[in-house]
Amino acid sequence: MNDMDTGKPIEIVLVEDSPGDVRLTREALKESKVRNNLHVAIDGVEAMAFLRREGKYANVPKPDLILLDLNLPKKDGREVLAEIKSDEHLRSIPVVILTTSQAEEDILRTYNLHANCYITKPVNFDRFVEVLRCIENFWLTIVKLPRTE
Amino acid sequence: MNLTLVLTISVLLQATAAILALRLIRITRTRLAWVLIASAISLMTLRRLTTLVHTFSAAPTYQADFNSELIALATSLLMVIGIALIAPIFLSIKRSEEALRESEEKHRALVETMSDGLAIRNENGLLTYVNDRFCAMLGYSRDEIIGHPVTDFLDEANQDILGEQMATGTKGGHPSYDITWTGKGGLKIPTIVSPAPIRDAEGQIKGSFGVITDITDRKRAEEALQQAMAELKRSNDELQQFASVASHDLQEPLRMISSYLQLIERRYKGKLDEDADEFIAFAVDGATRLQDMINGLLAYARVGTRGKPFEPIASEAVLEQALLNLQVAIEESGATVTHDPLPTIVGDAAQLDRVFQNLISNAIKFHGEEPLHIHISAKPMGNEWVFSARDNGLGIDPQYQDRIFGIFQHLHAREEYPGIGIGLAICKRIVERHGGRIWVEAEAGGGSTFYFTIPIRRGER
Repeated sequence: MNDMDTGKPIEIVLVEDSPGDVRLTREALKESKVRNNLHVAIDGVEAMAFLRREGKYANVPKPDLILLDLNLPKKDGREVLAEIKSDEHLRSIPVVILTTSQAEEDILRTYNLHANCYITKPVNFDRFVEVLRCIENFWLTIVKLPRTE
Repeated sequence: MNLTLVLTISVLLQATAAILALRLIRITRTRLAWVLIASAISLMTLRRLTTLVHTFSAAPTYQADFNSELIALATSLLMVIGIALIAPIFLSIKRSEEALRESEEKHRALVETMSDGLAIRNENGLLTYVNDRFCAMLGYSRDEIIGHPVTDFLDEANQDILGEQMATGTKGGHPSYDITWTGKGGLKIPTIVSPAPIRDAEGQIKGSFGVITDITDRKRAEEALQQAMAELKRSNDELQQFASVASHDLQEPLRMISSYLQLIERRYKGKLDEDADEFIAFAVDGATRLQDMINGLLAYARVGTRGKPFEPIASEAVLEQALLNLQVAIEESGATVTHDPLPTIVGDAAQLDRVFQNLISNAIKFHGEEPLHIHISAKPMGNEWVFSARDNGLGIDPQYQDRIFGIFQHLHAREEYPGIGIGLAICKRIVERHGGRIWVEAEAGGGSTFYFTIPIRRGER
């Protein structure tokens, strides 16, 4: 996969309100083999503005991957996911749900909304790195598929 | 026959008749008609006696006629016979009157001392009789009730109830019904009325009576019970919510602690001194354990909140699934798990799976020196299935056999046997949710058998 180092970096949007988790994700991604740019939206409203390139986000790149926390202020992760999946320009972006909620109903509801992946935030940093590595592998599989745009 | 003899017999007969007649006065309860008859007979006796005395004195003023005296004798005889015949009639009348009076008294006593109210209503809807209990219920005196229409003591809604009941009552049925009376000062008295019609000799309904049971206490008790149940449910819900919120919200800061501790460990291990490495390891271990405990508590709380409705499940298929989930652990420990044919039960498959997994992994954790063998079976006993999981592991000291089902209970030092001690508590909660029991028995020659029961529900097999 080292050829990816020289390629275009992956644009990742992390929708997360907890600074601790943002930093943790950033630290875990630092250990990643894949070059990446992490963009952070701290709530659902900001996330949608970023994805639709509204206002100050007019010049941001289109993300390759969205990491979405379910429990967010203003507009929660489920609403954000529903909006992404009903928007034909955003629909094709893989969404990975990151949350602490292990409740089955959350899992089911999220799958009904066509999240691409659902991951319970691990308590263990080592596992978090593993999880992110899985996500990267997952993304690498995705990019091999024909791009919709 | 001589005149004196005839007269003497007449006098004796008339005297007998007079005595009988006089005695009957009491039995007829001094009825005027009989008093007059008795007096007349007594006077006639006196008249005959006078005639007799005159014949002895042979006074010229009176000459008794023999033939007339014979007729008088016959009359006297008829009189005695007549009175003798009428006496039993009077006696029986008196006896029935007494019997009626006694019976009435008995009934009155019954009606007045009964703990239920009783009211009689005539065909015009006016109350003609009420007992003390009914008066006490309404708080009115008898005079304030008798002669008044029933509707005076019912509010509008209850007047409608009475109207409906009377309509169904005339159709033949007389079921009991609930009605609330309005007593003195607007006091509401909830009651159950058992009605019955009163018919005349022709079978025409000419009113009805009702036995009225005051259910104020029952209603109050019902309300209190409902309140207590609502309160219990509320406090239970709160507790569930508390457990869930507490464990859920506690996870966030805990995750921060353990994640960053691990980040430190990852980046700085070996770069600080040995003490620092050890301290970090302890901190990481503590945080991890706390996380496990919170997850355990959450799982424990979810037995009640996230349980699925009961349905028929093949427990053998559930066990196979549990064994599949535990495949790695079973293979690593070298254990063999066998089972008898298992029944179809009514329950929550996911929860039964959890019970099997917890019991088997528990057995694996506490294995002995010998190769571990776990055997699972079930047999019907009375109206329940008794499942058992027997192992040849370490066994459990009898004095701890109850304690092991508590939350966070350990019998061994943590370093020896890691775990937070909630698996069996979850099993207990699941089995109890199914209406069963769980216990453990020591096996002779080591090992132990866990038993749990699942009630056999109707419609099964």
